[in-house]
Amino acid sequence: MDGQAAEPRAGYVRPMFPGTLGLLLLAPAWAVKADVGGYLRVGTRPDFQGGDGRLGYWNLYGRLLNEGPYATLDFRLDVLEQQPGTRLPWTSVHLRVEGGSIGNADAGLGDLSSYRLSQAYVQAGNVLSSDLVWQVGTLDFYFGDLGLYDMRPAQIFYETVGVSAMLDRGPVQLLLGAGDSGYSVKGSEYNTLLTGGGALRLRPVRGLELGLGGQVRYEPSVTGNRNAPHQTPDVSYEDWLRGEVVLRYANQNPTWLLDFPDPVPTDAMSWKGIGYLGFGGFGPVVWNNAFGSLQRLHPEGASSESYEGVEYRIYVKELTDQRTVLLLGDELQLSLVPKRLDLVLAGLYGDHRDGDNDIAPTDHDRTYASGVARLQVYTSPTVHLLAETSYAREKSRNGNLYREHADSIFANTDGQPDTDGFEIGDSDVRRTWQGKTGLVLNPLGRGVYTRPSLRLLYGLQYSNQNNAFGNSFVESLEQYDDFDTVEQHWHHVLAVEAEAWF
Amino acid sequence: MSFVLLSALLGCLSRPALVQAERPMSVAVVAAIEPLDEARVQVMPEPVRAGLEKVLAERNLQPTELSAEQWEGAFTRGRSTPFRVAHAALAAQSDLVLVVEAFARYGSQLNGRYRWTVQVTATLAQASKPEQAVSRAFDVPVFLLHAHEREAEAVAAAAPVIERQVGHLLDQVLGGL
Repeated sequence: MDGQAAEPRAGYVRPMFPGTLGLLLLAPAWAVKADVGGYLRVGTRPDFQGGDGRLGYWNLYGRLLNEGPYATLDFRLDVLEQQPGTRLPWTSVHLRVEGGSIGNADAGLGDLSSYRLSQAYVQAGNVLSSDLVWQVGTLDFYFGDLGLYDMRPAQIFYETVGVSAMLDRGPVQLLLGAGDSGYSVKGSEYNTLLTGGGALRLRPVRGLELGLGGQVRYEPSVTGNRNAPHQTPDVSYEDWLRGEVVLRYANQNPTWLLDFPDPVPTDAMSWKGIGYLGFGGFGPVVWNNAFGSLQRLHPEGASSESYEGVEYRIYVKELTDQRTVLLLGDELQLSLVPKRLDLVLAGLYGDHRDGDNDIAPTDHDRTYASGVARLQVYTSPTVHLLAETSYAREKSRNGNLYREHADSIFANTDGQPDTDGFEIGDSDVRRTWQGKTGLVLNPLGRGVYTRPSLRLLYGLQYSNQNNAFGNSFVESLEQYDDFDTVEQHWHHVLAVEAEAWF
Repeated sequence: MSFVLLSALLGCLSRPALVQAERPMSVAVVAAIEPLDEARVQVMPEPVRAGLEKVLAERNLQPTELSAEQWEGAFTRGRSTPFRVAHAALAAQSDLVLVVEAFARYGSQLNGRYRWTVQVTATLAQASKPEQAVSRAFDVPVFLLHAHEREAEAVAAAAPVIERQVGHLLDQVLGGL
């Protein structure tokens, strides 16, 4: 910059934001340039069956019609702009605000409490070495995205704040990073969670990419810190699950309650490995992304129980340190008839295991598999027809987790009600089919993932689970309930919605 | 069926007529990418060049693309737009010269996409008066799906907006010729 005020380019945003961000953006226009991007998903889905406007419970059945409103604003401030053809140092400040509520589009009414400053970092390039980008702040990184699911199985550093270095030279992209994930994982019960890891992406030939990476998190033992990992001795998993640890101890030691065992300090570790294979650019194959991850979840801290008016903290590190998640996903984009017909196929498999829990059905002990197919027909560059179908099967490892019938309490395992058990409902399997179709207007032209998209859609779901969508139905069978239970397995939704990256 | 009919009807809606040159005029076209980490200027991807050809032809103009040998070296050495327009005007045997320069910068991963910003400068001049060139500078945010898509793909993804902006530039200039 030569110190003279330059005419801002079209598309640059004038500083108009209040607070800290405003002060940042109010820096002299000739010294920095601000750039705002973002994402928006908004619409209305009238639901005449008592639902909340989403076709099913979650993205396993495809993101379309199963996600709610969402907005992201991504700010970038080029303090020193990158200059083409040079290797001069550059630096930029990045801030991201995002959340899942928009005025009049959901129950949150767009309240700003639904939003958070999810990312903030500073990048610097061509410092110490060319091709190297330093980043300090939040470090979120992923190899790519399963677009039909809106999921990123191969993701690291999502919870981490620290420093990273990215080398991007020719066919090699190498990321190394380290930091602390304590606040994201433990919230107000913060304890340092040292995190280190990296990712390597190789492009050996055009049309082929390979990636490997991982992260390790270590939470050290800190004597005297109530937020550090501990284990309360002699706690059985079943008592903890029922919230009866103190009760059990009191029954066994009626005169020694004051001697309830003190927690024993320990340390905790968790890890995640990620992999990626991408190929494409031949025949009708536009691109195929395959992602995989295996992770051991970080153990929980403490839960509390109240007994005779006294609060007790039960530390459960050793009851929650055997939880693993395997996630495999693939997405194939095909151009069947160029400029006329595209097809995207995707599949997802998840296997959650909890080595400490053999008795209760939970989200930590289940498998799921799903397939989604989306066809898009281009009647003109901007007017398209969309059709999507999906099928998913979810299975609980430790017994029933789903209610097939409104009166499922009478149809429990062996036809016996289990009032003191952990099972929920009358089936350990949930099967879900969805079909969606409608009209899409894409002002920017053809492409399944071209945005903005303005969509008029109809969606249909069948699930063996009763009322398998967000709802406010009465579920108890209390004879004095004002409202009766409802049994329905089909669900219809109409949608008018828009989605845009900008 | 009704969806098919409706979409077919919407797809057939006619567009308003475009501004036309009063007589057919030849236009020499140069479309160049300036890589961020390489000194050498490169030719823009085919979708952008094809789009430029289309917007020119729609306005009764006859585009001719200058070969890369005619401008790559000079554009790499001289980085100012006036110099490049003057060079293209000298190299061309045409009524008009259109020079489109772009460079793309990666921003961040945003909700599953790779956000790039393509900075474009489009300049149109009469070949006999390159000093009276008219320029339009604009940024195009583009969102790529895959990490292997780099600068060339980012510029290609910006093609619809580049076409639109160059069309506006042509309409402004053609009215004054």
